[in-house]
Amino acid sequence: MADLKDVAVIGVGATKFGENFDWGVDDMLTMACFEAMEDAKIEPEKLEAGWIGIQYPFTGFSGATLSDAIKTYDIPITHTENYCVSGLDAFRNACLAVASEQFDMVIACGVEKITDQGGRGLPTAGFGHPVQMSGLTAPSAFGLAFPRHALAFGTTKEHLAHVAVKNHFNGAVNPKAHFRREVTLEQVMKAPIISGPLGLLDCCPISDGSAAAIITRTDIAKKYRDDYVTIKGMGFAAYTNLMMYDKNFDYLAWRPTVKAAEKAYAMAGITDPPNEVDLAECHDCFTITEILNVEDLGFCKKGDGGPATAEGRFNIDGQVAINPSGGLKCFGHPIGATGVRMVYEVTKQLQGRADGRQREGAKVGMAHNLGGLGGVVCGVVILTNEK
Amino acid sequence: MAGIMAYGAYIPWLRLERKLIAESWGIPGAPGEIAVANFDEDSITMGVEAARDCIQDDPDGVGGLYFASTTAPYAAKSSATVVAAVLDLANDAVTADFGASLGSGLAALVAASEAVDSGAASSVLVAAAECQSARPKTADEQTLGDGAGAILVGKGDAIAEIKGVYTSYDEMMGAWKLPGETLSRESNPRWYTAKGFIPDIAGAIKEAIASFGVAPDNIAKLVVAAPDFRTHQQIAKALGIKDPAKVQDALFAFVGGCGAAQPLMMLAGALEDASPGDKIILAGGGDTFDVVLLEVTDKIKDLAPRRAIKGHMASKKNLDSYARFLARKDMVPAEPDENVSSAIQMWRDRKSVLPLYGKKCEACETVYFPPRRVCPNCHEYDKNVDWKLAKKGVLWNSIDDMLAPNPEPPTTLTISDLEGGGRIFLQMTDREAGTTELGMPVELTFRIIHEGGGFHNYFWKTRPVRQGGIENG
Repeated sequence: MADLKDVAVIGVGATKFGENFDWGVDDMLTMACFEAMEDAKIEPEKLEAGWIGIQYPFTGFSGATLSDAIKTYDIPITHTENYCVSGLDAFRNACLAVASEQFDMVIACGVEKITDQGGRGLPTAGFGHPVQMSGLTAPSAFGLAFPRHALAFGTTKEHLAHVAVKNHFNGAVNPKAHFRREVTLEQVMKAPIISGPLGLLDCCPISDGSAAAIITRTDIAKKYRDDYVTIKGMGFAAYTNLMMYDKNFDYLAWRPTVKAAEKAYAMAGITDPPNEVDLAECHDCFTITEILNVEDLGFCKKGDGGPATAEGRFNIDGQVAINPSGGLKCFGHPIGATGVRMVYEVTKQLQGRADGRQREGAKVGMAHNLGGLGGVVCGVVILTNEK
Repeated sequence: MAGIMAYGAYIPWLRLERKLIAESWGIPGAPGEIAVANFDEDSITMGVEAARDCIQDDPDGVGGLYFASTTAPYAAKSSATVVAAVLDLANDAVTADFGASLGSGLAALVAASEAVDSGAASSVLVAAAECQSARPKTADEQTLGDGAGAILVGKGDAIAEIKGVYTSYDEMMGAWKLPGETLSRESNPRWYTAKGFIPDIAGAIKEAIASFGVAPDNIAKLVVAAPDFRTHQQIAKALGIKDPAKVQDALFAFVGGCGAAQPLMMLAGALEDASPGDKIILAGGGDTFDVVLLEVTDKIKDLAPRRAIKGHMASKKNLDSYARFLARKDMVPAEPDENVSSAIQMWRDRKSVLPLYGKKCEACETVYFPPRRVCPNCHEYDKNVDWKLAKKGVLWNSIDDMLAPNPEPPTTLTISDLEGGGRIFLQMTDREAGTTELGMPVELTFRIIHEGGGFHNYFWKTRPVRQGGIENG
């Protein structure tokens, strides 16, 4: 019987992220999935099962969204919907399926076509209860962490701005990134306010895009390529949609990040994350989100996220490279696609194929994906190129 | 006979100086201000505020709720039942809606006293509210205000006994609206007051005084709700009452005329200053005219302090432009409301949405909201009791958001810890943006959240405790 550590990624693909007005869901899924299959050197007929992450109903319903695009008729395809973790949860389920040996070769992908529904933030009408959570937006749900974190640890708006500057620096050289430009600390600080301390440049953009990964087991992977990457650790956790009502929640840490990381590190045998993880694609929907996350993932002490970022400890050549791709902030964030896009980036980094943004000597990389209005659900996947 | 057990009132936080109207159009302006309901207020929410002020959030023993308004938010559907449900009145309370006429507020008060006298109800809370729009540049625009009054009518230990009621009517086309119209049409106001309102009211008061056997000199306060700045003075003059201290302020200077709510608000104002033994003549109307003779008792000294007129008057913010006033009067097209709702879901959750019940866990005693079967603290299943949340607390966290659709961003989002337990996420209203501070006291106010589903979706919001007033509840 195989286990999760026998699971290998042998091919990845992603579209350019951005306002892809010319491409529909079908276009983007097709481009990402065929790129992944070409990377893996397999034909669609090889696929035995598929998982597709989509958050919004206007992007697509059900697994047939995938078979409609790439015509993988007659195999089981499952739609995963788990907020911004929809894509990484598709990846998790695909990994479990090949680990169980039910299937040998599967695809995990994600897609979101947000710009078809206007461009002012993520659609929230009809979310949850008609009146109880009315007024809550994505930036305010995460931004609510700032007043408490600032009170407890002295975190400042300038600390947040350093996250944006770092991620734009990384993403500017990434050909598939939504934005291809650096930003200055001053630009971030002076950008129009969106929510609380979060200005326009503290917020990830509304992007379209798709990403895909081909998953098999190591014994099979060897027949396709030598530089496949394997699962080293994996942990997922869901908390609650109602954190703002929870007296036990202090807004100082994203609880699902802490819990998912504990599980992933335990499986990976990692006890000293900043010295054992080379790079992490870390969920930075808003700059404040990354500040808490780097603490929750153990890359610095609780409360040190702001200063550690400002000191450059998370730069591409820092202690841990956080978001070498540019992250959600610069690369973009098509909800259902993001988790798989993180796997795409970590795989490229571990294969030494991250042109222009390569973390030198990367051996262990993490995809960390957080979702919900605030930290509701989280997935952490640790990949390695060490055989 | 029935008596008045308590009074309450509500005046919106926002005001508009009349000179801003005058300056915008280059027309003559009256001095003073008018009270302006915020975007999230209507006559139901203001009626709720006045009613809460009146009963101090204690529905115990309140046997009925009469609601009066010419600007009810529904053309067909009770407003009284919304107010009764928010106040958490027992479901055998008598409810009725009064409207159509500016006389409906006083008519509701008279009907309440009759219901109590007849034994049909142990007590009836009368709430009257108006949320009015007027055609720009008309005199009405500078005259009408928004506000609400509430009077609890009951028996025994009254703060003022009802000594007599005199009713009459007169059929005249003074002002009216056709179905579906929000702005009044009027004929000739000088004709209406000269030939209708003044002789009708003055005549009715004279008849009433005669039938009650009270000498005019023994009247401590004449409370006349009239449709403009000066008519109540002319009525006092017609009755031979020369001492201005005996004529109750009609609220026009800083609130404006509040239609059907005006007599109840003025009565609340009169009772704020009343002494035991005072005889008060309350009169008003339009179409129908009622005169009520009241005699204040010693019990008025025992009534708990409340905001009523003075407290609400002292707490205000002046709008800085006429445009902001027009937007609040629906004279500026709003962004389309893309919210969705479900009448069935709102009904199923009526106890948490309207009187704001959460749960209290019987295993760990945690008070929580929204109500759920499993305790979020100790995870016990179905070991809880319904728990009505306090309407005040302390701000624990907040953020000003520019993204959520809002006619005047930011939307202030708050997380508050309520007195007696329960942490709750709510929007904040009636505040200066950017002035919230963690740890500040907040109070809850019942407001419109959106119009999804084609109906009014109400829920609670926080606001800073209104300064200059007495704490509610």
